Amino acid sequence: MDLDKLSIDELLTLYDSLSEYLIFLNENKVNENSEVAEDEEAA
Amino acid sequence: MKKLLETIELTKNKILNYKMDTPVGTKKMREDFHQKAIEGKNNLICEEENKISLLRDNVFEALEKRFDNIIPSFSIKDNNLDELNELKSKIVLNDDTLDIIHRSGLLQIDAMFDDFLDNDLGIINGLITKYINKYKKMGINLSASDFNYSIFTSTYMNSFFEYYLDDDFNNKIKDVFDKVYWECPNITVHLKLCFRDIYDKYFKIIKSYVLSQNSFNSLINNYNDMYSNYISYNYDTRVIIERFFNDELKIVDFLDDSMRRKTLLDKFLESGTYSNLSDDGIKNYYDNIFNLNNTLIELNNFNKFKGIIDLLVEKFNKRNGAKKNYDLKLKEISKENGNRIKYIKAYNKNLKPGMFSKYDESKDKKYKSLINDSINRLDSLYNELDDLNLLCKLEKLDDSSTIYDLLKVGYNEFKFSDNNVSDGNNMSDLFDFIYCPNNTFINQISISDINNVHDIVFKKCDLLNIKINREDLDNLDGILKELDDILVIYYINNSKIDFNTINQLYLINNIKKTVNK
Repeated sequence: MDLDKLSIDELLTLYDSLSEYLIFLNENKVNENSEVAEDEEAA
Repeated sequence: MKKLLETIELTKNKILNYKMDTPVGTKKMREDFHQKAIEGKNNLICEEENKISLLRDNVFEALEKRFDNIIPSFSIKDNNLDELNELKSKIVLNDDTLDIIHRSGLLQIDAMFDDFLDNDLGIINGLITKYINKYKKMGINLSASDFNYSIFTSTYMNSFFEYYLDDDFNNKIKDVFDKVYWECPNITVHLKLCFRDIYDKYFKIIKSYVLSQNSFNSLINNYNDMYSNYISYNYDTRVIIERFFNDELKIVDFLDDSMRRKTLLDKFLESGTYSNLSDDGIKNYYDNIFNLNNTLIELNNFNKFKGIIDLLVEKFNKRNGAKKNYDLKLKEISKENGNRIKYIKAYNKNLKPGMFSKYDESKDKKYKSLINDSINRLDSLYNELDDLNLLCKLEKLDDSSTIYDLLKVGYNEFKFSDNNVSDGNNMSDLFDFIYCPNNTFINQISISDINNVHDIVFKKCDLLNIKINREDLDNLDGILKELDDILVIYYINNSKIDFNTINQLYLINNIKKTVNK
């Protein structure tokens, strides 16, 4: 994507969207010790 | 960009719906599946994070580049504070309506001396050095022999000059001070009156130095230039933008579709709306706004110093007969000074007895005590004289004299004003008020109308067709803020930038702040 062709408003929107997406990614990381769903129910 | 955002949405869904578990197989097989799913999902997230972080960095760089291209540089240099203070001192030195002692700068040190009488020895010594340097500037080199006002000033200042250039000055002079202090706890008062005595002694030289300064008009012109530079600086495009950056101004209030902006621009119009004004109407509108702003700044200053003004009016009403009382007080002082000198002579005579007399310890104590009492009486008498001096100056005014005349007398009596200036203000603020080139009403309203100032200002607004409520004048901070906002609109409308662009710069600047944290 050629950023030079984007307007300031578009760049700002893009920056916000990417920031939100990075937060989403961080929140959706899975703990490596998480257990199988069935086991959790059994517990 | 649209395509990128769509891809992000798809990946988001993929992550949200990532299959983490399987219902089939043995427990071991299900655990293996889950473990691999964790790995797979986290790998996908990490890859995305790396890719998106890099992209976001690139977007940030592109925004920074645009920011640097758009943001204007400072077109006006801010006033140099040291230069401004130096100029103010020169104006005082050259202002022939002020007393010689004020013009020489000695009165200002006197006032500090009064403030720090019971203070740290280091400060007192600093002020003594200030006196010595001030006299030196006027061609007078003070020496220990100038400090024979009392035996205590003599002892202290002999050591002061002896140790002055010593590396261990502070410790050595402290020892001397401690010794003198036990015999004369009022040593600082003695020093204060000693400097008063020195002033009288060298008055002719001081006066001729002060009178040789006569560039008042050109200095005032420089001051006026610096004042208008200060006003212009506040509304320099870059300075206004910085005021948005530090949230002193709220950008949402200034955008074209802002309700507050519309209400604000209409607020001071007697009729109609700002948006319907013709070009001439707009010009007239801003002329009135500038006028109103100047008047209300002046009124705000008037309110700030109302305490001093009221005290001056109180004294103005008691001014009759001041000159006669002043002369009587001078006589009392002269008599008491005679006593002081007589006691010092007697003390010295006892200290160095002649052929037919011998040193008497009880006389030593007696004369020290008499000298001390005499100086304490002189201190009170001089305070009364200063008060009468103020009344004498007020005696020269009458009911038709203006608020400016009254304030100038107050400013001339530096110590009086310094003691009575309200919290948060100082003598430099009073200087700024009195010498402000934009003042209008204080130079016109007479002392007899001093309590009607708000009404007179209100009527003036009415004459200018400015809509304002009488109560608005009681909340000047609020109305001055609104006028400042209107002036911001005026200056931005007349610049090469608009509020939408400032909004973009504001948003980029917020990102910069977060990234640089």
